[in-house]
Amino acid sequence: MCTDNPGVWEYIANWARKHSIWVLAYGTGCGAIELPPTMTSRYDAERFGLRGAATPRQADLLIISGYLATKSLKRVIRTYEQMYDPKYVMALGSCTINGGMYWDSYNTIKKLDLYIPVDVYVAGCMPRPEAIIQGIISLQKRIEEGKAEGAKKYRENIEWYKKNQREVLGDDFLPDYTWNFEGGI
Amino acid sequence: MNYIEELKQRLDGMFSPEKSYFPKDNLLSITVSNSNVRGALAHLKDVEGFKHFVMLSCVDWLEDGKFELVYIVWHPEKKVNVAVKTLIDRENPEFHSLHDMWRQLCTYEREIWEMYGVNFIGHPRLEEFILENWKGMPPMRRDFDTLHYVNEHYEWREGREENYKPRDYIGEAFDEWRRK
Repeated sequence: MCTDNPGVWEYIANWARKHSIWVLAYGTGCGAIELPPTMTSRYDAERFGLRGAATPRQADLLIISGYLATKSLKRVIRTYEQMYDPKYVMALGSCTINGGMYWDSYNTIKKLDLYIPVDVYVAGCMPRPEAIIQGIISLQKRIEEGKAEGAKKYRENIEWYKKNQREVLGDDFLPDYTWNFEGGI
Repeated sequence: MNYIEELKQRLDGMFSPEKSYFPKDNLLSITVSNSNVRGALAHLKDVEGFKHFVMLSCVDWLEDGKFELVYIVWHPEKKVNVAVKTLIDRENPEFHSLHDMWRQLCTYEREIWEMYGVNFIGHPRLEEFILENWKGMPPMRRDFDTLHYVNEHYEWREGREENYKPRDYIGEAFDEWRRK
């Protein structure tokens, strides 16, 4: 995405991306409970173009639903690296913001944006479906304005992100081929 | 005299527990010596008919310097639980594995080995289970300082120290709302 000087095609592409967000809801925490009512008939998130994706390769938006243990952080990073650009991340709940009620837990990370770039944070414990929809709408605005550039940020600051990930995940780290293939990530 | 009281008398006679009492109506708790655990569980399983193994858990009695292992079994027809407890030394925690009696004990013992550091002698597979790359003190022990660990391993987000009590923060508006 060339956002320094967005042409008319980029504008059209962003408009299209905004209206078809395929969600990979990786249920790490209690936020996974809030997603079925968001998707089903009462709140009906499909009217915003949201729908579920089966695999990371098909998904545009990764929803991190709640606290992340270090063990699931490794899987989340791998999932995120498997997704194709353009890709967005939404973090639900206060646990992803500052640890929430797991602030002194030995196995829960405290700041998600140290490890992967986050486009939208939705505060609350747990956020209701209305809050999730509000987050989707603000993400759509960011996409339309060309500001949702998480993947670019990740690519440019890969050393910094990998350093942070290595600090918390330790020696038993992700293999290089998840991100370091020919032609860059 | 109902079934569970008769059972208590029989077990008291056979295994001479340090303590036996009823925490709940259908639960009998007996604390036996280390060498009597296998005998008590075998008796309950094969003679009394407590076929179902419910769970094994571990309690950390930090002040006494002991770990307490709790084996709970269930009688499906009489609808009665029995908790067989035993105390082991906290400094060098070791116990014999009972995985040959119920196979699910393998998993319970592996978890307790990981979370409390109790070494189960004869266990076929004492290896990493839930934690990954864990070094140092097992995290479920009571003298494990989680806050210290977090300060060493994670970064805080700024602003956390400015947390207010909701009562102080809302203040007069809350009082007014209460008065209505």
